[in-house]
Amino acid sequence: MSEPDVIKPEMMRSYIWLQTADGSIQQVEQEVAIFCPLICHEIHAGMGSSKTYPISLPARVNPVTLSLILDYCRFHQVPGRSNKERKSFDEKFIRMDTNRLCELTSAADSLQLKPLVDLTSRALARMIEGKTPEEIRETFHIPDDLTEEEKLEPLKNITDDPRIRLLNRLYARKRKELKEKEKLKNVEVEAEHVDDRSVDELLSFINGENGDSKEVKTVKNKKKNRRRKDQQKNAPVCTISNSSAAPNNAIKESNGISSVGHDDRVKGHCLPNINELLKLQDSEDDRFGLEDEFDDCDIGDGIDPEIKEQIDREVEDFARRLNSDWPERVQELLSLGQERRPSLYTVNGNGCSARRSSSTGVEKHEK
Amino acid sequence: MSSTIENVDRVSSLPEEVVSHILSQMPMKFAVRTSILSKRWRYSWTLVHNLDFDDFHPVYGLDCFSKFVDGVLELCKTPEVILFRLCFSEIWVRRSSASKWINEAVRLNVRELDIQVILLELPISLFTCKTLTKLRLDCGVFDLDVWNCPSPVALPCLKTLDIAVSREPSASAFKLIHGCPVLESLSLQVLWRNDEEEYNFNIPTLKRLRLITMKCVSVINKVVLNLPNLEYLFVGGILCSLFVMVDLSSLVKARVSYFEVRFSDMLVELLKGISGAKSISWSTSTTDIPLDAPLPKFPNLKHLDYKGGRFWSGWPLIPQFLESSSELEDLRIEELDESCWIEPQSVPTCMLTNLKTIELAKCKGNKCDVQFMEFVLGNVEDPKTVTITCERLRQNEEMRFCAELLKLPRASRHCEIHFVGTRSRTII
Repeated sequence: MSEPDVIKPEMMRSYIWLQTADGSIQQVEQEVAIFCPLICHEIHAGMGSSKTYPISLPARVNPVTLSLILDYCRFHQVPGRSNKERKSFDEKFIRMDTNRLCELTSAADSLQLKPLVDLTSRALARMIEGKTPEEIRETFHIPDDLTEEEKLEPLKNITDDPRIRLLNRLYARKRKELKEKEKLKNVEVEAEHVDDRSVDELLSFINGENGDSKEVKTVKNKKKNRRRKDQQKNAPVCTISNSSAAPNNAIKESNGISSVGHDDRVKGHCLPNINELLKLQDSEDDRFGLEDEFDDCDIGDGIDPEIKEQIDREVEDFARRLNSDWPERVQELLSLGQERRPSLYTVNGNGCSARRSSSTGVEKHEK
Repeated sequence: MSSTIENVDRVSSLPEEVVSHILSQMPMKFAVRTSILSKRWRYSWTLVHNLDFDDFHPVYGLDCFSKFVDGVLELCKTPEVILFRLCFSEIWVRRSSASKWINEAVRLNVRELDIQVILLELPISLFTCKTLTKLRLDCGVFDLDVWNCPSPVALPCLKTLDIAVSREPSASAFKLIHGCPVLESLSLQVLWRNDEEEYNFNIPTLKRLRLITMKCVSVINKVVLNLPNLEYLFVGGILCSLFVMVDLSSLVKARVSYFEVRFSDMLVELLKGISGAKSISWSTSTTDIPLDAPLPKFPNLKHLDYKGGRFWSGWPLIPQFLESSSELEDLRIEELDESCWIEPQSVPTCMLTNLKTIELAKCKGNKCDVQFMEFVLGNVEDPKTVTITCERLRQNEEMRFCAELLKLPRASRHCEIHFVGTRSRTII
């Protein structure tokens, strides 16, 4: 406790000592400090009662944000305030530049001060919603490190599995190459399939509402998909060694797609279970262990040529099937590990058919 | 990390949990859009725990929106959904789609479900969802066979239920209500009552009830309220029911907001039923159907909020309320238009003893306002705050009103009027 020259009643309060990561120590009224759950725990553990044993605050709390947090706590810990007063305080409190707001969010989170995290999150959310990606990047200085290709790529099931990430990147590259090949050919404008539209519109929808650019992107995507379909139809029998069911399915699919009248699915729909499939193929781990080197866009480097060839073949096949139906794709991917786990299909077969009515819808179309 | 460096991307370095918390506070559409901000943001949206799909922003057709929701549900990685909202008022969603989506939300242990979609089929799984605490179902007027409510309904955690039915709530809404053992807050909107069906509310856990009838045939029905723990009652729409209050002993606040009253007797019965309330908010027209019977006594009433509004003037009831509420402390009158103020025979007791706060809100400075204020100022012994708020008055009209108020004699020397005009505030 501090020792004032003149002891006034209001100074006879307990003070808590806090230390921020930069080493500076300050004292705060106890009733204010205990508003932060983390500090409260520390106090109960016996810390902070003197200058020699201050409570060490997490690294994310610097002196400036600490002072803001304490202002917040000082106001809100007073029990008699009305909701209106608190709301009014919050609205004024939250007015600060985005940098400070982010720092404050981070600090409040590390101190487990949930009401403040909620308040700052909502403020940040208001800054994000309704803005175009460009505007958001500008507001927060987010680096624009996705390639155009990646931005247009349909979102697939995310996973930390390095094989999926690798495959996704390779597919993207392969698609690009196919697109370039098609530029040499003469393609007529065809009627659009609903399947095309679904992903394209989802993408444009995801990518933003800029009228013109959206339409351009949509048209571009449609052309891309159409060319790919042509490629599919013209492609010879698939050269993937361990995929026996492939050729028939390819032809079937093309027909299947053109007869699809209405369809609730999105491309990403089918992939959720691939993760499980590939995880089970443990011995494949070694081959794909090189994934750490692939974190940048240029995936050409550092791949074992033998693996590369195998991957290329798989990628070509996968690229061909980008519009394909779920059951066929499962079969293919399973065939990668068919020797090892023949029972896989049953497990996922059940999962597949139980999952959505739309997959039974697909089966109907195949007939 | 020095805060003097201005162009650092701090938001991306926030922990994933915080980022998903931020993205949870906006419609899904915007959250998903962050996936193209940068690599780090590509999949952050999939951890969002609030799935809020609305069409208040322009969309590109039914099909696209349907696919969007499908896509999000597929890719979403959050193990538990806190809020799932489908709010497509403009779009008619395919029945099976919405049902499928709700089913998926239930599977993800949803806690709050907010469905405002035209034409809907509800999955059976919804009616036995163990995690649901809040449910809102508002399916528009076309809910034909929406409610194939299976029996039994079992919603063990549901505390808040907000439903709008087009008719015959017993077939649907009441079945649902009976399946909620811990229900605390219920809002039932009957869009069209076309029969004499009796509504029986027998819910021991209920604390808040809102009952609104938008349209009904000319038959009266009975509404029985046996709600011993009810604290807040809001009734509104058309008064075409006879309220029988079996038990409303805990009632604290009542709000009566009818734009049409079929029979004045029903209103009196209702008032008798809520006479134990401490606070009443009143916005009901009684000009067409003047009350024959006197008002019941309100022995506990401390706050009265009396609203006029464009379609109903209601000066006549104010003196009656004042006379019936001897404990009244706060009186607030809002937006009463030109009518006449009839002074009561004798000064109401509350004015002599308890009335402390008087507020005239959205005042137009009419003659009756002045007369009322004259009565109040002349009789209230000890007013703590008198506030008059004017809206949309011209400067000269405001000044005239102010001047007239100044002239009024005041019973208490310490009485001050806080006058809030459109542009300024003064104390007179």
